[in-house]
Amino acid sequence: MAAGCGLLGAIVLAALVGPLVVTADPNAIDLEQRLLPPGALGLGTDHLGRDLAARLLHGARTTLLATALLFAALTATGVTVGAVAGYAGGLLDRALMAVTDVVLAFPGLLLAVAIAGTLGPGMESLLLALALVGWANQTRLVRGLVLAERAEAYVLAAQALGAPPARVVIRHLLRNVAGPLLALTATDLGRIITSLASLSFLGLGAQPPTPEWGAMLSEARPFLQSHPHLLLYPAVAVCVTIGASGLLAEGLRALNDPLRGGTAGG
Amino acid sequence: MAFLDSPPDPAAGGGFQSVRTGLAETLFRLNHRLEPEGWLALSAERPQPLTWELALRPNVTFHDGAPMTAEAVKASLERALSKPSAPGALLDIARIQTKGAATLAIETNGPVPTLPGLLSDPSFAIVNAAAAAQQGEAFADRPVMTGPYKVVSFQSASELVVARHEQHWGGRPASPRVVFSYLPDASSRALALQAGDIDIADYVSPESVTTLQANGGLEVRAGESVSLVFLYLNQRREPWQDVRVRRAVASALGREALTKAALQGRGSPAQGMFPPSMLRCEGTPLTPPQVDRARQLLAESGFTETDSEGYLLRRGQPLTMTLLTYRQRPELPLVAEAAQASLKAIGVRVTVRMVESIGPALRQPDWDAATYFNNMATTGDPYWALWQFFSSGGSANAGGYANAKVDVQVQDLARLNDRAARLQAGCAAAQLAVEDVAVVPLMHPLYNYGVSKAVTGFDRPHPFFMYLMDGGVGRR
Amino acid sequence: MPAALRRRLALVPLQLLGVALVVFMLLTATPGDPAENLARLRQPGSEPTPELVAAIRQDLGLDDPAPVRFGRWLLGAVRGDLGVSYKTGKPVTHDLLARFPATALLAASALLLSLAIALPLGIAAALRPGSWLDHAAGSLTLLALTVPGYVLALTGILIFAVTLRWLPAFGAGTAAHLVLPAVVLAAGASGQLFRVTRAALLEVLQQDYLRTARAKGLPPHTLVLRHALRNALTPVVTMCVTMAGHLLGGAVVVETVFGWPGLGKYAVDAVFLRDAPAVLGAVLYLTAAFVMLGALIDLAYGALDPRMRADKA
Repeated sequence: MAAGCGLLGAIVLAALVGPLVVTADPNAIDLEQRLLPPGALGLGTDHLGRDLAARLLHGARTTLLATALLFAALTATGVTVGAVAGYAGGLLDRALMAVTDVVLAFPGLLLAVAIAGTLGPGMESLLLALALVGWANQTRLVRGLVLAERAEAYVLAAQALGAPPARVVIRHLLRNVAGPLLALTATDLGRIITSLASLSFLGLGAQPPTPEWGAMLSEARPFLQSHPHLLLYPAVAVCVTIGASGLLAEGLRALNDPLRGGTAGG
Repeated sequence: MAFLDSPPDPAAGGGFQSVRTGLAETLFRLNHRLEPEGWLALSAERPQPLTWELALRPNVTFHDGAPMTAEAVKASLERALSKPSAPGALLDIARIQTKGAATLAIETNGPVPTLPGLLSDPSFAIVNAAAAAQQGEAFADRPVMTGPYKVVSFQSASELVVARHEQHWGGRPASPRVVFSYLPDASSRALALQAGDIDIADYVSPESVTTLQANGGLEVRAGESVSLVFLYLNQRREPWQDVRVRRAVASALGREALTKAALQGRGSPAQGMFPPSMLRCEGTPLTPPQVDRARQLLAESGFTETDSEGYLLRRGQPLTMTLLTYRQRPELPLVAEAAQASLKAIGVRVTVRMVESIGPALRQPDWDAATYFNNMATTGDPYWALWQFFSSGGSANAGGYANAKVDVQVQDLARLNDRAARLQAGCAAAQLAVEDVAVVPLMHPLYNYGVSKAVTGFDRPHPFFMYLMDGGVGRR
Repeated sequence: MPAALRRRLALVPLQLLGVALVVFMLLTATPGDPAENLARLRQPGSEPTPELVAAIRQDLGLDDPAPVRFGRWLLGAVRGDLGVSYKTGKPVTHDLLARFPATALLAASALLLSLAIALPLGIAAALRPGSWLDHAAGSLTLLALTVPGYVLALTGILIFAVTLRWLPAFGAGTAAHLVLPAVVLAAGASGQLFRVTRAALLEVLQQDYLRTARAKGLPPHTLVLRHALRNALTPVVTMCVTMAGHLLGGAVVVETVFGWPGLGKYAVDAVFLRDAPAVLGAVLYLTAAFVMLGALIDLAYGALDPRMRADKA
C-alpha cells in the first residue's frame, strides 16, 4: 500500500515538476540529431530529433490526466448502472442490461471516428467516444456482485429498518463488493492506456506533435527492430504507472478488508 | 502483400490486384522507362486521327484454354467499358471493330493520341468475356484471364493462391504455384520475411530496411520512384493566394533533410513534379532551407510584425496554417511534423490535424495546407497528372490553383501526337506550375521490396508497383 | 426459466433495431465516401476521378437518400439477408460465416489458456496472500497486461519465428499457427482473470461460515473446493463470459499482425471503408452474441447461487 502510494506519488510529481526541470522543448524538431541513443544527454532523441526525456515527462501529464478522467467516468457510470440493475431487479434490470449488451457490442471505433470527424480530432473527442461506450465492461461484474450480496442478512435487515435503497447500496453493499472492483483497477487502467495508444495509431487522440505516451508508442512502432529504445521508454513508463496504481488499489482493497491483511503483489 | 481485398475480376474492381499477382494482362503496359509497349497487343497504328488499329499478339491462350481472338478482346473491352473505370471517359471510345482474327480497330469520338498508354489501365485487362457471361457471379473470384498464373483459390483479405498457366504465351512460368498472403502490417511482413515464411515482402517500411539488409539471406530492392509527396496549399484562402507567401513556404522547407527524416533515405528529394523515372526535366535546384529569403518574402507581403512567441503578424492578424495529414501513407505525418518545425522558423504558426479521410477533408474550406501522396506515372504520359493537379478545373486540384497560362499549356499538350514533344511540353508546364508554387513538391519515395536471396527473376523491380509478378519470377 | 427467457428474448429485436439505426446514422453522419474509399483501395496511390467515384456510387446504390437505403437494408435483414459488402461484393452473411470459425477458434483457445493460467494462480495467491508467489504472479500478469498487444505480438514473432524458428510467423491453419496469437490474447485476459479470481476468493475466504469450518478442523483444500470457490465463482464467471464476448468480436491487433482471418479486422476495415452492410452485419452479430452470453451469465448465477435469481425485484 505504502509502496503503491509512494510510487504513484512519485510519478505524479514527476509529471508535474519534471517539465520544469528538464527544460528541453519536447516538440523541438532537430533533423540533424535524429535517433540518438541514450547517453550523456539523457535518454536520447526520437526519429525527428526530439528529446525523449522531455517528451516522456510532458507526455506524462497528458496521458495521466486523460487516463484518470476516463477511468473516473467509466467507473462511475459502470458501477452505478450495475449497482442499480443488480439491486432493483425486475424490469429496470432487464432494461439496463439490454442497453449494456448493446453498448458492449457497439463499434467504439466507429463512434470515435464519427466524433473526430464532426467535432474535430483530438484528445477530447477520443475521450468522449471512449466514455460513451467503455463503461459497460464493469456493469455486469458489479451487477453480479450486488446480486450476490443483495440476499445477505445485513441487507435484509437494513431494508427491514426502512433504509432508502440508495443508502443501502452505497453504505453497505458497495463496500462489500469493492474487493474485486479494486482488483480490476490496474487492469482497467492498463486497458485504457493501451486503447489510447492503439487509437492514436489510427490518428485519433492526441494530435501530432503532442507528446503523449500512447502516441509515442505508436510512432515508435516502425522502429521496433532498429531502435527499440523508442518503444521501450513509453512502454516502461506505462508499465510502472499501472503497476503503481495496482499497488495502490490493492492497498485500498486490503484496508477495506478487515480480516485478511496482506497487501500482495502487482 | 499489403493489399489483397478485391475480387480478382477487373470488372469487379480487382484489375490492379490481378495485374500485380500475375493473373491479368492488358493490351499495352508501361516498360521500365514508363513508355507504353505492347503486351497482349503487338503494335498500334493511327491511320486516321479518330481511328486506332491494334495488331494483337498471336497464340495467346486464356486460362481455360480458349484462344484470345480479336472477337474475344473486343468483348472484353466492351465489358470493361460498361463498368466504372478510371480512364473510360478519357478513352472516349465510339466503337470497337474486329478486322480479321488478329486486328482490332478502335474509333474514338475525339482524337486520343495516348490510347495505348490509356489501355494499360488495369481495368482493361483482357478477360474471357464469354466465360464471364456463362459463370455469372462465380467469375468474380475466379476470372478467366491470360496471365502467367491462374486462380486456384481466393479469400478476400486473407489469401490468394495461383497456379502456373502452362500455355502462357511467354513460355512456361517459372513457379508452379504462388501464394499471396495478406499481411497488412509492415512490421509483421518484415518479420515474416526474416523468419523465412515468405519469399517476397511487398512494401517494407523505410525504417526496417537497414535491419533487412543486415540479414545475410535477404535483400531490399526497389525500382525508381514514380511517386511524389507534396504539399497542397489552399489558394482559395488568404494569404496563400499571394505567390510570395507560397514561395516563402517552399523555400523554408529543406527537402533533403525532410527526405532523410521521413524516408530514412529511401527516396530522393523532389526537384519538380515528376519523378526522374518518368520525365527528365530541368528542375529547381535543391537548396537548404532559406530562412532569410522566406522572411523577406513574407515581409514584402505585409508580415512585418511579430508576436510574443515569434510568429508573424500582418495588421494584427497572425500567420497561421492548418496542415492536414493522414496516416494511410506513413511518411506523411512525419513530413507534417517536420514541416511544422521548419515553418515555425520563419514565423508561421502551424497546427497539424490528422484526418481519417483525406478526400472529404480537402473538400471542406477549413484547411490551409495538406500533405499528399500521388503516383504520377499511371498512364506514362504527363498530361493526366498535369490536368488533374494543375489545371483550374482539375479533379485533384484541391487547393484551387488557377493559372491561365498553365491551363493553355496543358490543353496544347493534349493535342500533341509525338511522345517526345509531349514529354517536353510536360516538363515546361510542370516547371511553370512549380515556379508559381501550385503545390510544393517534396520528395519521391521508393517502393521497397524485401526479397529473399533465393528468389530469381526479380532483380530489377518495375518502378510502377503494379507490375510485380510475372512468369520470370521464381525460386531456387 | 422459460418466462424469464421469453421476456429477455422479446427485447432482442428492439436491441438489434436500435443498434442498427444508431450505427447507420453514425455511418451517414461521418465524413467519408465508401465509393471514393473503394476507388482508392483498388488502385493504391492513384487519384480517383470523379467519374469513377460517381460510377461506383451508382453501382452500389449510394445515391439514394439515407432513409431509403436503410429501409432497403432493413427489409432484407428481417428476412435474413444482411446485404452485400461493398468491398468483397459478397453477401455479408457469407463473409461473416467464412470468418467466424477462425475467430471462434482463437477466442476459445485464448480463453481456455487464460483460465488455465489465471485460475490456479489466482487460487494459490488468494490462499497465501502476501507470499512471494502472490507477488510474483501478480507482477507477471500485470506485466503481460500492460505491454501493448502489438509489441507483445511482434516480440513473440521475433523470438519464436525469426530467431528460434519454432513457430510460423503468420497465418492460420495448423495448431502451430494458433500458438502465438492465442498466447498474445491470453496475456491480457489472464491478467484480469487472475486479479478477479484472487480478490473474489479473498473476499469469500473471510466469511464467517468458513472460519467456523476451519475452526472445526476441516482441511483447507476442502474449504476451498466446497465452499469458497462456488461463491467466488460469480465474478469470475461474469468476467469470463464478458471476455468471451469481446474475443468473439475479434481481436484486431492480433489479426492484423498475424494475418489471422478473423472478424475483428473485417469489422474495422468495414468502418474505415464505410462499408455499411458489413459494419451493420458485424455489429448485429456481436450484439446477438452479447445478448446470448448475458443470458448465459444469468443462468449461471442461478445455478451457482440460488439466492441470486435475477428476477426477484
